[in-house]
Amino acid sequence: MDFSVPQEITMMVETIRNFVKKDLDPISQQVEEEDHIPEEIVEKMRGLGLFGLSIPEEYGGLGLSMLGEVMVQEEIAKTNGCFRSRISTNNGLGSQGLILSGTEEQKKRYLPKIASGEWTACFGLTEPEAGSDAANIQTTAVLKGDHWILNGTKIFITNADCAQVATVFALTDRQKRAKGGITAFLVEKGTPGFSVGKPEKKMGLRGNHTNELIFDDCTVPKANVIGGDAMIGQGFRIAMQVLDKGRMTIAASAVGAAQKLLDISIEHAKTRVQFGAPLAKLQAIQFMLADMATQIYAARQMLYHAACLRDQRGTSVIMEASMTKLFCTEMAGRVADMAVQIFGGMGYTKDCPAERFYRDLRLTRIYEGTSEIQRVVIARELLKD
Amino acid sequence: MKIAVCLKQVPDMESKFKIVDGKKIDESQIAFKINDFDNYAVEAALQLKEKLGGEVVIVTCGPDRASKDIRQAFAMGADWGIHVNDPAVESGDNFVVASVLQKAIETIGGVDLVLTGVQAEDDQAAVTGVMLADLMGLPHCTNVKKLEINGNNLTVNRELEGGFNEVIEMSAPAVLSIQSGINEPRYPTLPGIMKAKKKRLDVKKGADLGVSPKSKTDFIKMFFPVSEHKAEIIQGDPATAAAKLIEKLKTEAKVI
Repeated sequence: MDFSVPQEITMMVETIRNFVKKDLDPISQQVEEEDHIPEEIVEKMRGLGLFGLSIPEEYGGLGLSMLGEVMVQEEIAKTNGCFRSRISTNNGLGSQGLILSGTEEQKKRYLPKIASGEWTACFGLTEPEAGSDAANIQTTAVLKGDHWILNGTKIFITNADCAQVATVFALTDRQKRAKGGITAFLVEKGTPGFSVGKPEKKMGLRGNHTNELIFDDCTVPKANVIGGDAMIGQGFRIAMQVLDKGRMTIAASAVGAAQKLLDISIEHAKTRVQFGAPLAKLQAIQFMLADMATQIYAARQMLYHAACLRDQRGTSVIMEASMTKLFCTEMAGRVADMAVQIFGGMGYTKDCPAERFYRDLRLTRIYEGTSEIQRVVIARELLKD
Repeated sequence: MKIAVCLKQVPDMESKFKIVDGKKIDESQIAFKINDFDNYAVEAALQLKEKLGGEVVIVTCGPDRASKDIRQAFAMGADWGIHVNDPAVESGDNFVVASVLQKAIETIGGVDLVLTGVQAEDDQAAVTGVMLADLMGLPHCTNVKKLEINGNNLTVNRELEGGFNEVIEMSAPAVLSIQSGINEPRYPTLPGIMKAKKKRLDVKKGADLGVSPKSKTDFIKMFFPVSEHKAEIIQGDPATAAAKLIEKLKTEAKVI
């Protein structure tokens, strides 16, 4: 397959590389300690157009191809993961439901604000009783006059604390559930009965928060059903389509982070002297570097191939997207483990970026479909008649 | 105000340099980017345009790959550009490049200000801007660290050794070579990059401009300088060591 990259994508990747080097890397440690991204950095991210990578041009975004988007996401993943996470929901989960199924009016109302980053969008599917088993949600929506009344709690919602609008999934028919009983709603901040809980104390991705979304007789206008009345009960299908697309960008972030880990490992191996010579002279270290590079190379080919397939075929790359997320994120886990090993004692301290990547990357095997769920999807595709 | 900015594409200095046959650099390992000094010149031009209106035109001599960095300048906000893509110019020296830039800038017409970087990061010749000014018959100032414009009057700070500045008044049209640190160059934004695709870029040969200058210098070869490591530690108590050092500086190094 031809991976020829359009000039504008090369230029964007270069811009991101400079931005990471000049603006993000220098404050990476500060953000980690303070668990907060300074507003002026978020403002710079807005100025660069980072919130609208995947949103169509007609709604103020960049409308990048999948290949373009994964290459940009790969580059921004080479620093503290919280920065990528900050833009991830606008480009992915928080906007895709609208893009795929929203009415024209809804798209016009929300997408330009999401693309510019003026508004942050988040995605509320997961609940205490519905993680991988997403169809088991308990949040309900009951129609009362012109409003739906929502009750329930969503958990682990990325960017909930800074979001102005959430895509929320609720049961509109308990019996039908995934098959016509789940509906997707747009819930704006400030809607009566809607509140955001305290942030979770996570293993990594400090600087980016996940919170609960709490609905207590929350009144959502009828007009806020994604796709309008015709889409009542179609929410589960929307959720699955949205998650399908997100897999590729998570894979991209894993590849970018793994590459950064290889780069810093090589630098360390060349400069750190033990037994009278740089670590790089030791075959044990050389072999780890070789394994890291080989696995990254394989993962990146897979990622670009799947992205190009998606660009050519449209949306039908369900199996390839799952394979890519599974392989790239598991690969990055192995690479992070080797990087920490190469850095030795230093790699176990908070002063070493390898330690941070090791923790941050652990999430990529869990969110937006665990590795196990990816295997379920792949097997289902393999075995279907 | 109509401003032409001369922009050169140079290797990223963090690339791995390999010399082939003592003549050229192996480009396969090299990433290219805008010459850093020219980037400051682009930013200076854009700031003037924002204040005074007008247009910013990018003028570049370079091979196909240089179009990427002309478009980076478009993405920052430059309006259009001229790309002289001609192997005959490419193999020429600074005089050839300056002569071609002069003709290219003439085709724009009515240019009030020509900005260049102080030098290119790769050859570090720092002469193209000066030559260009001479060929155009325009006043010129190098190492510009500050620039103010009032009508046709320019007040510029020229950086000297040791951090001193001299303040010079001159009038437009003029050629200024811009020193790093005069401003904080903006990033080409991602939407800017999308728009840059559609901006006008005229590709020309030397012949289209009616110019075929000959180099004033001959290129002989390029090589990595051999670095010599020679250090001697002088032992003994301070008084004896100092005496020995002075002796060696006088007789061996012959510097005192």
